[in-house]
Amino acid sequence: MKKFILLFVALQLLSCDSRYDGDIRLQFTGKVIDENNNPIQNQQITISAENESSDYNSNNVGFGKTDSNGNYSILIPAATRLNTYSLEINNEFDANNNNQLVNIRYYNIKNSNFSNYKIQLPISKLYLQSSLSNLEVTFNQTNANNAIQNVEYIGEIANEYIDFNPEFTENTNFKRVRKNQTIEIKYQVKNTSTGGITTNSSFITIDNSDIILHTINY
Amino acid sequence: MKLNLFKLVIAVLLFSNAALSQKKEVNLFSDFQLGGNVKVFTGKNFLSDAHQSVYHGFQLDLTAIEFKNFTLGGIYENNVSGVRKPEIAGNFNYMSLNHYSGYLGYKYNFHKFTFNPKILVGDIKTKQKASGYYATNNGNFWGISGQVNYNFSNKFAVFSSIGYNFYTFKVQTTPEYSEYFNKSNALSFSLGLKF
Repeated sequence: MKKFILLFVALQLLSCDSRYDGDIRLQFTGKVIDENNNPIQNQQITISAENESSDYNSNNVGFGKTDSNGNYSILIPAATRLNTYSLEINNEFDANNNNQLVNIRYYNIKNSNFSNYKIQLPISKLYLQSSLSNLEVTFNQTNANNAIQNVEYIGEIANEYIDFNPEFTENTNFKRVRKNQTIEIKYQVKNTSTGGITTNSSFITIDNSDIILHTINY
Repeated sequence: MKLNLFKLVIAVLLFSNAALSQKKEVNLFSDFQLGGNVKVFTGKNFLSDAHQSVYHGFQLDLTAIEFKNFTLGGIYENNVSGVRKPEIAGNFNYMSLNHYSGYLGYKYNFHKFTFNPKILVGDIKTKQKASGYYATNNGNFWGISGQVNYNFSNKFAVFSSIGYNFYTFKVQTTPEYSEYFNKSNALSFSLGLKF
């Protein structure tokens, strides 16, 4: 009997709708432009509330579109049980279709990221899927005393997944970059025995290829 | 739940009829009203602008005490509307408003008509609903209304009323939207039966 009651309670909890607090209204604002820096109008924006630990329970609680200047302003009631938010631009993106704009997702947004119930997101540049190359960089350690640090990419990089509260260092081996440009990779090499630090640059010509492989020896 | 509500309505009707027939100076539960209700929210605010400004619903009105033409009672109203601006309201399907109010009124009898102005004070609970989630909010309101009854008998009448409600909420949001979420007002129209 106890098991039955526990099962019943568990089922009730599982079937409960998520509650949002209408007494608190959070505002997300930002701007969307294309790869030529022109504002994109009527671009779909969705906001989800999620659990930090699991994607299982999430609600698309916010929805809106950009205006003629590419700006958006979306308000949602604050989540009570879910603890992070994500904002996705162009969530109807299909990775197999080269002739459409990519999507951008800002995720792991927490209450601490809001100032006065508002968060201003960076300008979001949507590239055409066909305009991007996958740049894969291998950092090859040739000297056992050397360590690489502070890797920085300079050029037109498509930031498609932006973690607002990263717990791990960013993956510096893979980037989505615009075709037909030169990318500079700035990095520091620290000699662990002497403590000396040198700053280096590596320039990569990105042609029209879909995949670019590059190796940096340090 | 529905059965209980039905029993309650029957009990109130019987009690109110019994009270009416006794011609006491103080009547308890003398009137019960049931009717359709439409609220038209005006101005640029959350309830009028982010949602369809016309809310359809119903109302239940129970006069608890009647003394020398003064009436004291309570009203429950439920009204529903759709979302017009999801970018402000959120990604919900509809908005439901629950009004709980108490009132003080006065009855003027004129031939077969009764004029019944009222002053109302109450709470409002809003519920925005979508599949799998919902949002709630509480506020207060005061209002005035004027009601006209056409009396078929002492126990049965049709009524219509028009009223005005002013609402305040305590929503915490950006300064730009503070007034938008926290103040609202509506015209209220009702038509129904009095027992």
